[in-house]
Amino acid sequence: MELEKTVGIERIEELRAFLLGTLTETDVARVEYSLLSDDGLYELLLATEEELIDEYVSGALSQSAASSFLGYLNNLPGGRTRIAFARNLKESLEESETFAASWRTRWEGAAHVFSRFLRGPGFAWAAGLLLSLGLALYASRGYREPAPLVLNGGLTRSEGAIPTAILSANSTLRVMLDLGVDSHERYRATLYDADARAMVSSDGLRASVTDRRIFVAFLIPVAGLGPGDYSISLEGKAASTGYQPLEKYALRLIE
Amino acid sequence: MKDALRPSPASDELPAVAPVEARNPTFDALLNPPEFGKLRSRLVRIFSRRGCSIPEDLADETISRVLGKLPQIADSYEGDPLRFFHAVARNVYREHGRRPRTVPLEDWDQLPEMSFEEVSSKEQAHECLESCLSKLNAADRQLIREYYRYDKLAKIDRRKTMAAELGIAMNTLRIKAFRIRQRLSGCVVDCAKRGARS
Repeated sequence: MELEKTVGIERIEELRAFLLGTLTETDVARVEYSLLSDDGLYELLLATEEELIDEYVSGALSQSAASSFLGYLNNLPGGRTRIAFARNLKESLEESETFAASWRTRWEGAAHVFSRFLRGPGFAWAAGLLLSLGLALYASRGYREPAPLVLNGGLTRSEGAIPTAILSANSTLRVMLDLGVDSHERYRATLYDADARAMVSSDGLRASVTDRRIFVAFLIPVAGLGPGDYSISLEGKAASTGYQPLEKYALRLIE
Repeated sequence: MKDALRPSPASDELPAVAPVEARNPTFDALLNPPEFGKLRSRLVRIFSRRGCSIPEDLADETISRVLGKLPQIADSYEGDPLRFFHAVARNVYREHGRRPRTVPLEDWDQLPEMSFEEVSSKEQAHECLESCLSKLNAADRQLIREYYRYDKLAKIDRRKTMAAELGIAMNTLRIKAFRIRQRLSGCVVDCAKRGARS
């Protein structure tokens, strides 16, 4: 298909309907023949398939649409592989976006603080501008994203050094829970204080691979948390069951 | 059991049939590479969408029947040969007799669990994807990141903006992103194969 050719939006909707099995038999027959004869339309069908796969992975398809589309993918050679790839791509792009967004936030914050020096008359203004730009550049170059804290399961206070994080260094603590094997579809992590009170919980988490190890990332907002020993409970969810306990991790927060 | 990372047999591979010497030039073109591969993969999709669990077999059956009819019709057939293929495919489907089958979502998730090797492969696939993303040129990597960046309505608006910034139609952008994704997918499969051999 020449990329400059335009196919109307109504054809996209028709291709979606074809893939979701909602066209009449007459329209199905017409679309089938078009797909056999029109290279550009066929490629657009393939692109629409990928979009529907992405929507399924994101949970954006209705139950009936997902069921019908999965029926089609189930019959198509390589259908499951494409779903696995789509999940993989989504996770990879989300991880890189999270990292980039945190960098932007810190750079904008540093620039705002030093922009106060832009006020003032004459030479003081000019000097202040140069000084603030220099300091902002120095601050941004010197800034390093705090490394995430890696936690291994099963560690208790009696079993050696407990992983420790400094409260004042972060507004959000990023913890990587070492999983061993990615055995579940989704995970839930809950932070408990020393009195076994649940402080923070996140569910719907997914495992990811870093340096050949499998982790679940848990972002903990530290506002309201005090210094002390904490524990993190990790639960896994299979398709047809609720969350089941998997592992516990020890954590110490200090000021 | 379907292995998530073992590539499925390429739909463009030729089944074991003798070389065709059709007298009708248009049938001849369709029954030889590269048009043959395109035709077969499209028939597979048509049968898949109609709920057939063996779409490749039915696509091959369709082509075999056309081949069988060719001596009778080659000299006299008028019109688009693809209509003939389509008509034969519809007959094959009717004879196959399957209604479109939906997969209850619970059943999809209850397909055989991945073996240890497949879990390891999943880890490897993630690493391969990271590696393959880094191999894209900057423009393609940026396009892919932006194209998949948002959810739902924000995604649609963002893609319209992207298309306008690039000076191309929405569907052209759709195809560009799809082609980059296909390259990524192929790269991941190759990477996974190399990992399996090592």
